[in-house]
Amino acid sequence: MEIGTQATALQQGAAVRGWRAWTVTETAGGLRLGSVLFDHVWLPGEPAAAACRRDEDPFAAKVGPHEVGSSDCRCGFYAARDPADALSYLHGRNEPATVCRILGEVALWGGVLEGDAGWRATLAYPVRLYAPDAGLAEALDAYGVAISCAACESPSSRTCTATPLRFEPLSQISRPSRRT
Amino acid sequence: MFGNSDEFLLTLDLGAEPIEDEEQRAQLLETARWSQDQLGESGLEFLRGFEATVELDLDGSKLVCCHATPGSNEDVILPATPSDEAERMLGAVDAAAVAAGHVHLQWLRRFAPTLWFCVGSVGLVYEHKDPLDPIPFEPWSEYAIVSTGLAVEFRRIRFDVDALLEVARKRDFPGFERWSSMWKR
Repeated sequence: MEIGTQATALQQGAAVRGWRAWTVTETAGGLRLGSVLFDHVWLPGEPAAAACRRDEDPFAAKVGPHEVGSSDCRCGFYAARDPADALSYLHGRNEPATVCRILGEVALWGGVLEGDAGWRATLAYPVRLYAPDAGLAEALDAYGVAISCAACESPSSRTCTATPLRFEPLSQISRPSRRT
Repeated sequence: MFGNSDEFLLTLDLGAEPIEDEEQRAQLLETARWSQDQLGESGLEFLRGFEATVELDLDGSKLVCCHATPGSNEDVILPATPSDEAERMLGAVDAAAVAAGHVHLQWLRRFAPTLWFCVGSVGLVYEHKDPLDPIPFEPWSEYAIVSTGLAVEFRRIRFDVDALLEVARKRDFPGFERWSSMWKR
């Protein structure tokens, strides 16, 4: 994903909310969100912390030691300002354990770089997920975030948007990052 | 489409292929010569007929098919390649969509006004990682089905890898033991 040109660092403690795609992958602990590009599972109830995996890309130009999320590299969690920019990542090869890909909104905080198309940050957690069916919405309930799906419009559904959140990532993102 | 491996078979020139050492170079050349023998002159002549690009009209939307990019059968564009790098490699392609292969991955992105998609790999599915997964190859054949309106649907179907390995073994494929151990079952 791209964050566009003229990226600038946001003030520490700032949080943003953007769009991204995830895989939904079968794990021993149940269905989990995963990166669409890397072998990385987002665990329920804890912020995802970015690491630089540039060395794994045999075609990427080498970059010296740098802070994760810095402008010296492209590492970090991405979010698009426009959901259309995240949509293309819903298509691609899925590993056998991957059930599907879904669109959602994500909170980014810690070290955040802002561009005209989106953001890149060191810490992230989903805020809202758009599941294709009620069963998947229920399976992703462990994340404790709002989940919308066409099949569960009823506010009585415990996984739909009217559900009170067990985990509120936005309450965490106002705290200064431990990585600073 | 005329891919870099097709070109290598015809020229034995490795081009921009990253080579780790002379042993790897020798292995690649041995495999290429073995492949030439398997294909025979008629098969190599068939390869010479492959096109660098093919243009298709899908109800007024132009689809350009190529191996790596419309201008090269060696450029590498990956899902995480920055847009400015990808657009530089794509050049001024005049098409609504470009279908490519080359990197053995199945994915889709939009670069400027052009829909770019990589159809995947028929027979050698793997991810670009350094180091590679210990067993990197999936026994899938991957396809992209493109319908009018430029709707792209990715598909894959498992093939009989044991049958493939048996044919390769019988025909003394160079480095068979190592290569056969790289397939997932």
